[in-house]
Amino acid sequence: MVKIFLIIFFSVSLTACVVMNTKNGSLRVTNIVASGYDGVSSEFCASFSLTKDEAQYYFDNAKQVSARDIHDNYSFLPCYVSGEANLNNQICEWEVRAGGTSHITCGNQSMLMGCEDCLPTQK
Amino acid sequence: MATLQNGLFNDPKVQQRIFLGIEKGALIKINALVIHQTGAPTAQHTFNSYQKGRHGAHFLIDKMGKIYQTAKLNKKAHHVGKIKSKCYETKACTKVQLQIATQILFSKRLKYPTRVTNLHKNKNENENENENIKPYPDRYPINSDSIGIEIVGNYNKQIKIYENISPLQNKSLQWLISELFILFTITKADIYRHPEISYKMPSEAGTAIW
Repeated sequence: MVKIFLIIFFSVSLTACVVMNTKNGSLRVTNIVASGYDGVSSEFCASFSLTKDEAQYYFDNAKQVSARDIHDNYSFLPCYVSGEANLNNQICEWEVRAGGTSHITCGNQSMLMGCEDCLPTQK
Repeated sequence: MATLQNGLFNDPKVQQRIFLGIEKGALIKINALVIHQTGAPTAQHTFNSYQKGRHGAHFLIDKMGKIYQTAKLNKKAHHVGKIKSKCYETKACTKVQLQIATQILFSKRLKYPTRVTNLHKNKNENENENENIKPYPDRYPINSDSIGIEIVGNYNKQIKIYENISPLQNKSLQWLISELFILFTITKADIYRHPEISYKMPSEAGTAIW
């Protein structure tokens, strides 16, 4: 009984890890949905945009981070671009912020990512 | 009433658990308090992070409202990060200040993280307008003139929000603040939620009450 439980537990855990692994090109950005900003930052955020290729470059190079990492090491900026992606045949929603932080949700799983140097200089 | 001796906050309600690694040089003048949330589910997670000795705050309030002193009050802790322009955020800039702030914030050829760094540091021509060398309260508090208070609270990635601060935690926060008011020349106007002064997730410490 314990063996069966352990096998199920580790299988579920492994599946969860695989689903949220965005490296090795497993996450494919499919489209840009919107760009916007929180609060009243319209002018500050006016020049923040991302193409599909730029978003793909970001996700290919960013690393998974914790909320604590974002608190300590990143600026969480009000400007964002959001879109959709495909990860292991699952449709995911993502949001990349101008400070280099991002958020991905695939079904009932979410993760935070970060990379300051993975975003392009804005035109 | 709490007493202060060599930076140690002495009161039976506070347990001292000092992490020397997060103490970063002398803290000469205390102008303000900055309220944070840890983004982790337990105090132990934060203690583990403090053990690495990079970022940290002076106090930690755990889930049950227990208060730990984690850095001495005569030592700086790195808890603030890069500050926003106070005059820009509060729409109180002079013409020159506004020109400088917008020049940095809207400089299209720079990546956004660089703009934030330049705003905080000294990357403009008029050095008197550099945010981090303006006198307090013309600018927001920085590591070298503030005490950081962390409240244990996780960040929910699904709904993108920090968990609510409990009544027990708020009660402890209120008591701690009242004692710090006695020990230092600070008032309610000198207490800030972290996202108010620095570019952080807006819900951090959003349910703290003092």
